[in-house]
Amino acid sequence: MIDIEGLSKRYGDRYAVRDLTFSVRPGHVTGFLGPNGAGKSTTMRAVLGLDLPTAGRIRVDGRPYAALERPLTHVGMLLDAGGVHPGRSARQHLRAVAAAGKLPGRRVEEVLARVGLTDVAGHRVGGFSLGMRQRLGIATALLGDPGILMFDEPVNGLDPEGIRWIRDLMKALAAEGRTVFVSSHLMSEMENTADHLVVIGRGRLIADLPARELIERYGGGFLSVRTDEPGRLITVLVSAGARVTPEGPDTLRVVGLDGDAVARLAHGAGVLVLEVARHATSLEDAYLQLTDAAVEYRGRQGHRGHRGAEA
Amino acid sequence: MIRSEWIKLWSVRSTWCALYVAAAGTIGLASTYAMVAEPGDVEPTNALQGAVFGQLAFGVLGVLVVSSEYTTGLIRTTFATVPRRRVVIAAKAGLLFAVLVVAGETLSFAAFFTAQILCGRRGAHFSLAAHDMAFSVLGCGFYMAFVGMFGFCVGVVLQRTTAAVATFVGIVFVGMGVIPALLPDGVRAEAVRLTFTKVGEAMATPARTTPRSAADYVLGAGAAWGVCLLYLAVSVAVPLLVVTRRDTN
Repeated sequence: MIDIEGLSKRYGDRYAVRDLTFSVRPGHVTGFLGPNGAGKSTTMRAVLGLDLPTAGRIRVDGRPYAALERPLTHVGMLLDAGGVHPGRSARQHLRAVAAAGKLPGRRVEEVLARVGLTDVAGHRVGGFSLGMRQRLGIATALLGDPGILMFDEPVNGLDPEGIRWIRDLMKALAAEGRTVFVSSHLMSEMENTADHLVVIGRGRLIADLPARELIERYGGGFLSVRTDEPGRLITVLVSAGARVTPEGPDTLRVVGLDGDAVARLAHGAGVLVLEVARHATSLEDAYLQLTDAAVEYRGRQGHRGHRGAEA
Repeated sequence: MIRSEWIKLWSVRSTWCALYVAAAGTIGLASTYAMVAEPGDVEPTNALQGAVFGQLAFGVLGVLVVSSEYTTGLIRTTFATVPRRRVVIAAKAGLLFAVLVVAGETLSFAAFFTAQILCGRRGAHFSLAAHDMAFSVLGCGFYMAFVGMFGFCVGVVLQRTTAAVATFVGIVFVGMGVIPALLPDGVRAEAVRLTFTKVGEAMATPARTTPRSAADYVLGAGAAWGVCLLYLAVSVAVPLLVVTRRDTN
């Protein structure tokens, strides 16, 4: 269980995270979504006491992180694929972390087996593929057999097999009753994994709700309408209350009307409709709609030469 | 915590590398000196001058012990594992210092004995028992260990390996020689005496028999030990102070 209350983090005169409040509950995979630079990594580092918050309070299993006895038995984290000295072997790395975390040495072999690295545990990490490093990072996270697991962009750069492995692992960990909190800037990654979603943009909370509800509330399907007179059809549909955006030279994206209504209106106006296709909404669409403002903001900032907050 | 740092220290090649380089430098220079010095004109403390290689290697090791953790991102795992960062830094510093003192004194004595044996064969005899010689050898080893701890301090402050190594070399091997020259005449002598290099020289040469030139400003050995301990304390205190005040990105 992670409780974040009014978290703000300022770098210089810019807020990476502003007045963020939400909880992450056990037994679910909670997706933490937002465009690059939205403040996801900052939030995760703050949970671990690595970034010192400008304001706000974070509780992990009811206590501040720094007050936890043997923190690794509460929280395991995968912050990025690095975090390991390339000259050290996987086993030595895990032994060092286990010793620092006051964990029994037998855990090292247990987690190596769980992530499938036993055979290469004696090799220098510098020779590992990205997928193997990621597995080692997850082995490190599992070392303390923690109730909470935080993964920051865990599938970045992985091949499809690696992605599937991580997805299955996250689901399995949640099914064991653990709290799984995983960040991503890609909705599609969360679509099959997350039960609950926390969405942020520009450092602020945008949504905090079950994945299913996000689709229902922010989704709302759309129609692709192909016509030989797009200009006139736009006028007709807009005056009937639809939101219309051109998708191609002769194709319109229509929200707010069903196919029957579009056909009738077009017929009434004498516009020929060549095709009407119905699209169910995806989580991806809902997410893009939600974070639109944040993305625009990022574009403008980019022109002014500001840097993102993601480190 | 110490155990964790012990595993980390010995499970990378750079530690062994640094110690080999230090050994080759100190003992190598001692043998060279012993073989080329005029037998009638041997200054035993000169055999300790290979310590300069030891300082460089120890300093780089001191930098790497901490900067490699920052550079690879391991430091985040470390600080998340042990949120009391001062405990982490104290464990690192304590272990490193212990290792450097043992290594520094071992190399310093090894250099001395190498020179003693080689000079003895050529008819120039001197002994550890005579004339502050043991004190010189001890001072030399301890000074090397201190320079390593100064590297550690620079590593914690700057976090990045290249920046920290460059800064360390710049301060210890260049800055300490250049800065006093820029100071006004009145304070120059004092400043020179307090530079690392001269403090180290004072610690390693109480047994020196050849007279120094008047322009060679060196503290007494006792005072030099005091100054060195003070520098050592600062080199440990600064990392302990800065480490809790920063984000660990």
